[in-house]
Amino acid sequence: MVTVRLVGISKGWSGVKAVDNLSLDIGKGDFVTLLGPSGCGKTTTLRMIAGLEDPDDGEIYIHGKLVFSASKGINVPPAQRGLGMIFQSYALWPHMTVFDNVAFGLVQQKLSKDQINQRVTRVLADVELEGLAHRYPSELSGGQQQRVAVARMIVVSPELLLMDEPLSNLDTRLRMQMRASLKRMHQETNTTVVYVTHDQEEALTMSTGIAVMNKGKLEQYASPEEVYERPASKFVAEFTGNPQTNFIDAEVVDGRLKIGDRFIGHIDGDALPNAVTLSFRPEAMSIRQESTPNTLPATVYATLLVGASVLVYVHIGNIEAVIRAERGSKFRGNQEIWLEPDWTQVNVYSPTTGRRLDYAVRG
Amino acid sequence: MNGLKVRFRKLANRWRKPETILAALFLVILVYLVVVPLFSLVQTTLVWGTGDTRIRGENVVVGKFTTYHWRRMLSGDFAEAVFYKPLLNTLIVTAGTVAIVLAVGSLLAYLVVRTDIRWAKLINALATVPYILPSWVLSLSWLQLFQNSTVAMPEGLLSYYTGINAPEWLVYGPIPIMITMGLHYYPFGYLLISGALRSIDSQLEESAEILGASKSYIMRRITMPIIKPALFSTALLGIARSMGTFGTPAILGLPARYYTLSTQIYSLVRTQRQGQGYILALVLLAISGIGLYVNQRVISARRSYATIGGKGVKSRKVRLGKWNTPIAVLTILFLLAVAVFPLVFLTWSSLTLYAGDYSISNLSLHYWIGESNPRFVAGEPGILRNEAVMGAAWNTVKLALVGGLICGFAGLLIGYVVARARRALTSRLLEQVSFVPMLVPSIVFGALYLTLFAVRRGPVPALYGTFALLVLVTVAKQLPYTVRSGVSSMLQVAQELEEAAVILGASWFARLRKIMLPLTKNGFVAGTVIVLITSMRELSLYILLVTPANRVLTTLTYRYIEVGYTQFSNAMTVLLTLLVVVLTYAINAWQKTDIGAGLGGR
Ligand SMILES: Nc1ncnc2c1ncn2[C@@H]1O[C@H](COP(=O)(O)OP(=O)(O)OP(=O)(O)O)[C@@H](O)[C@H]1O
Ligand SMILES: [Mg+2]
Repeated sequence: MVTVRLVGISKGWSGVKAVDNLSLDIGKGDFVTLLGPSGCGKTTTLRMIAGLEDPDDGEIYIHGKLVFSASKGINVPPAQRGLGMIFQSYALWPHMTVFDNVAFGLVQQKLSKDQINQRVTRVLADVELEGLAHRYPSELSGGQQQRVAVARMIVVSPELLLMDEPLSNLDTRLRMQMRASLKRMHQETNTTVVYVTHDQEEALTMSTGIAVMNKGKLEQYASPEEVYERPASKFVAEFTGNPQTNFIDAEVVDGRLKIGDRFIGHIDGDALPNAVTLSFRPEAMSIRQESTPNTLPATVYATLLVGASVLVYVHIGNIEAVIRAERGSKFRGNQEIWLEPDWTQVNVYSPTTGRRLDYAVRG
Repeated sequence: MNGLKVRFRKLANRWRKPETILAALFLVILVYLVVVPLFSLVQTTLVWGTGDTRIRGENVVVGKFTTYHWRRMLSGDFAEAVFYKPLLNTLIVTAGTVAIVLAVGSLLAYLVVRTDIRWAKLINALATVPYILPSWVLSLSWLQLFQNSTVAMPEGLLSYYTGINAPEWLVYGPIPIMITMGLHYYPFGYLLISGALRSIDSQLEESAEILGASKSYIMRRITMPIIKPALFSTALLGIARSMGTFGTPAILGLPARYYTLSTQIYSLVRTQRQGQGYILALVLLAISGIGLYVNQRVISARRSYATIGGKGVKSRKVRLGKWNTPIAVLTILFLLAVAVFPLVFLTWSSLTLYAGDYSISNLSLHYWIGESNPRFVAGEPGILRNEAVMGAAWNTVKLALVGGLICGFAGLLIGYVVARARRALTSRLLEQVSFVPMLVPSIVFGALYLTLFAVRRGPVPALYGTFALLVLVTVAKQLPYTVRSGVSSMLQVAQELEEAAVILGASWFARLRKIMLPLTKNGFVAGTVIVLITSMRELSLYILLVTPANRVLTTLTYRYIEVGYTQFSNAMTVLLTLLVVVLTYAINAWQKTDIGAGLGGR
């Protein structure tokens, strides 16, 4: 079952395209994240789904119904699209109490006072805000305000919930807690969620599917595992890297890879190109103390302790790279080391287009 | 066929949005209320009017095209007396007024904002008082103080107590007109300039000082450029207002046959010579237009300065040291002289039975509560039991309330449309058009409505002589103030607050009622109060439009001034002032808003 289907939607302002020919299917019960750098069109996409912004082109289906079509001139108003939206700023109404904020949607549906009371009370209990019903938004902490924003939308039980960076205004610890509680809410209510963030870690931990966007275009749409392990482009690899993804250019000579003047590993496939870019994440290389045929020489220039592991910054030739080593590893500056790739974690990209190439590499 | 259907659907989608409908609606209304009158004004100057039939030697056919009015107004003795002389007088008086507004406004603003002067709060409060007084309070009390037998008038206070007879040039003519207008209009200069001064982060100046800049260099290169837009706006508003003001030049000019354009327009229109009077109105309009153009050129290039600072502004105050108390006392005395003493003089005068005699035995409440007595003011009963006066007072209050509410509401809605689609052509057009009335001199605006609504035009009935016409002219003329406060308060409400309600299924009316209006209530009240005050004490705007059926306190007062019922009209002026003050403070106490916020736009 598809809940949201975007077909070739575009939107621009004064000639500049904020969203460019975007197509996306979001299944029922999915938690799909729109991920990308600032200004790539995430909010615009979300607002077009909600009906707050009209696409210049394309079609949008929600729950199987055509809600927007540029060519047919169809445009269903937001309230009739059966969705809820949580804004980055929370957009709580400052002149209403928590109770009135949450009750607003039910009042619009003209439910009876008793019913409203009952449902608001239950939802406030769900988000653990029982005692605060008569406070005003300005009298709440950031985390509490965020939960009111959630409560206000889930009280009308929408089958589709749109969230625009709902956690970006919270401090790190609170953000972790709220992630867990949003995730729990998603599982319990079985709503479909479209979630916008530019935090790759948030996307990887919470989603069932990630749509990576760049300059208004969809770069990759896949499961978090796939996005992380098989990024469809250098851009995706780079954007989802933590702390970063290393890229090394290699020549292809007779099915072998040549980095600098050193031959390492094999590349298989038909019509091999002359040159490729290899990507490997910090944990995809192990540090060795001596040279073997499957290693690259490198020089350490800095180390950084990050919780459970050590980040080792090295030069491979004139390329800078980061390697994740076990906690407790000790290195000196300028120390010579050798790096052994885990070839299953290495991806191959075209140096010209930046797209992933489907060649297998091995030791 | 299909394409047509799609296009129709798209159009329907666009028109489903209330802001589109509202924008179009307001644009149509504003064009009718602001742009159409301009055309009809021009047209009137080019055709024969009903009052022209007495003219000899011309083939007068009412309604037919003629260049007679223009020929007559541009050259010859008549033009000299009726156009060029009043034009020169207007320019002189306006220049003097603006100079006083700038000088007094900026000096007060500097003292209050940038120095550690004592009693700054009191000074600030007193400084805005003249704004709520009727503009001619000062001129009437000026006469009360200086008039004497050399100008063939009863004795004023000065002459009565000291025996000194002020010369005629001090009693009537340009000097007293400039002074009284300048002292009436300086508060908006004060508000604009002090707003600009407040926005200067003194860190800007301090950093220049640390870099070794001299005080005069800092003043010239940093402080002045930042307050320049405020100075220009003050000058422009001062020009537009004082040129269009009728009351003061009428009271202090006409007795000495000193005409300005506004009083000349009045006398031409009153004698059925609209065709010629409106040429003068066009001249006033042209001068305002030039002012607007210059102002735009200057401000738009400098606009970025206007928002400097904003947050966490720290202002270092200049220490006045041992001069502090003397300066403060002088300032307060000056403000009392401008804001409070005039009312005292007028009240005193209204309590004297025979004009010019200030002895105890001559004190009387006759002009307030006395029964009709044919020996005084042709038998008019005291104002509090006078039906005509009470009727006019009631009209004034009604007009202020109805006009204020409609204007405040319209300003808010236009603000909503403009804030929702800042970049859309309709919004920009709407904002621009709604600001035009601010620059049209009041007397001209009145003239415009006189031509527009004198006769039935299509579905619009002839409104001349009705209360509705006064409401209409009030709303149109004062709209710039409420649009300004409406736009700024709507811009303060994040769009997402409304969108959250859209998603939850609230209709446009529900959103307006439950979200947008409650959140912009302060702006609404501030705008409404401004209109209320302004329209209660407005004379120039209504003077051409009233008939015995729809007159208000100001116009009725002027009629009594014209026929020389000094004490009687002074009593009415005091009554009007009391009404304005009471109504303003009642609303303020009820809604806790800052009038300055609506005036200064911030
Ligand atoms: N109302 C608008 N008018 C003009 N340009 C707009 C408007 N809304 C968005 N844009 C432009 O469209 C582009 C995409 O904006 P969008 O808000 O969708 O980015 P985003 O991915 O949500 O970024 P962020 O992570 O910073 O929130 C930006 O270049 C932005 O400047
Ligand atoms: Mg965004």
